Amino acid sequence: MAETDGPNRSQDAKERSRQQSRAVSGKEAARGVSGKPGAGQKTAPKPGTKGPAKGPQNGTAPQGGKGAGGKGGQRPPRPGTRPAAGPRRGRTALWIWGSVALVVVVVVVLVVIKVTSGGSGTGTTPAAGPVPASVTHDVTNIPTSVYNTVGVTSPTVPVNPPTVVGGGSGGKTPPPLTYDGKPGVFFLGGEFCPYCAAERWSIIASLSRFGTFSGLQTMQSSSTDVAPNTPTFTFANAKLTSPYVAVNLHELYGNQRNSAGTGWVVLKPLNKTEQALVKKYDKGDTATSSGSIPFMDIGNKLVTQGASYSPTILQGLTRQQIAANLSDPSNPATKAIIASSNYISAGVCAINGGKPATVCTSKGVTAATKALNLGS
Amino acid sequence: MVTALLAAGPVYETPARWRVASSLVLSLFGLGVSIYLTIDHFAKIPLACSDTGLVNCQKVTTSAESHFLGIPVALLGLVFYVVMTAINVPPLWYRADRRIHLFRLALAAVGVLFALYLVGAELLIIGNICLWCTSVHVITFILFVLILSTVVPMLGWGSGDAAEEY
Repeated sequence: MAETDGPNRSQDAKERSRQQSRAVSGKEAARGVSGKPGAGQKTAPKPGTKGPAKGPQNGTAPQGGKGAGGKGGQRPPRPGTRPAAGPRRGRTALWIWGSVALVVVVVVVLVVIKVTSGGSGTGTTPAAGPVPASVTHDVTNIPTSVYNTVGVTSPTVPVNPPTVVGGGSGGKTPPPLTYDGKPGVFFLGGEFCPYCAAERWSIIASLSRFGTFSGLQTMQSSSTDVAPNTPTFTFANAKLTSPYVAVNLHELYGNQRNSAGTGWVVLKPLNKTEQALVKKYDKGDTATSSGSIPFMDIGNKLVTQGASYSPTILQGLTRQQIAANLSDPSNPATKAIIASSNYISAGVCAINGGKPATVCTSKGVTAATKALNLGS
Repeated sequence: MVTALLAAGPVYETPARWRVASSLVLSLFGLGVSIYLTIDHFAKIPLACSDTGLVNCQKVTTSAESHFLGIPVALLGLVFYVVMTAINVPPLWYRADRRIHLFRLALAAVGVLFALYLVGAELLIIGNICLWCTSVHVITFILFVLILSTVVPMLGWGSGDAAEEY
């Protein structure tokens, strides 16, 4: 900076500056030595000077440092060089490590905010959260009597049965869907989707009769779609442990808008096998390879496209209310959920040889089996 | 005037070779990950990444925050690392032109500030973290520390011991 002063500087100051500073060159560094006098003249002209920089007469680095390449020996400080480095070096270190500390502090603050705020995303779209124990208990421990009482009857809210692939018993059926050697069930949904929101109640109620869920989280459907904010769950982290059936619960979309604002963020893309499955059986929307959601394939024997019942029946109810009502077979929402659940159970029983018998021979499931013409 | 002030003066020392090599290697790592993320963005291929829990690359890379002023962040990262790699080649480290080192420092500072913004967006807006993005952020931060601790002594800012190797 001082060298820009040019004519305004005294000759003494210029000379002092030359002694104190030395422009370095790549050649010097490559050699790992301080360089010959004038080495910097070719490659390192000092900005602001007319001619090439003049290196120190003996090629030594200022202040007796290690030298340009970092390999040179200690050199004694020369008279007239910069003041002792102590406090200034401290200031340099303060700048450097202060900046680093600032970055670290900002990151720590962000993490703390994230942790203390419960990890939600935007304020407008709810994030997945833990399911209250009472809700989990109510939806996964519905009394058998409720299933048996409801059967497939839901007079208030019509329930669409699954479609039997190949036309039902006696018809031509494709190879069974299996996962790890077990009869398989594939579900495709999206967290924003109100129809998926309704369907999950039935799926959880049904599949929990065949195994144990883990990783269920709360969710609600989009606030801008039909049946806004329908209380539900997300299968994004859910697993079912079961000796009778293996499930692939696939949440394709989240409940946040994508970057283009034209759709929803993709939570988990379909792999090629899943794409082929959807393309083959999910005919709800031929314009896209993903088909329509919700979609469920029960062992390639039954498929559901779209919700089994309207999510509007769940409007105005909290998650706790819906769950608590599941022990009341006269409740309209319960009837829809349970009737749909019995259909799913009948499908699972049809692909796994009727196991467990306590479920598959129950009155509610046999009613669904009969309605679907699946045989015994 | 400011530019003139910043650009004027000598370069006080040559950076240690390990610093030069490290900056180039880190830049190449960052460039590699940026290329991968950019391909993912435009080819819509699934990232090799967890998609459950806090870590969810797909959710982050398809979120509204994956664009900055209408430009894909992945592309911005790629451009950043192309420039960063170019400016961290050894011949440019050994040049005595202060403007090169100032630009390198400024670039690193911009990079780390943008990384902070993205970390904030991931944690506070999207609610998920992308491991690939985080790896780029970490590389950017290490590069920032490396470049800051190398360039500041080179430029002689606040230091009287210009030749002391840092």
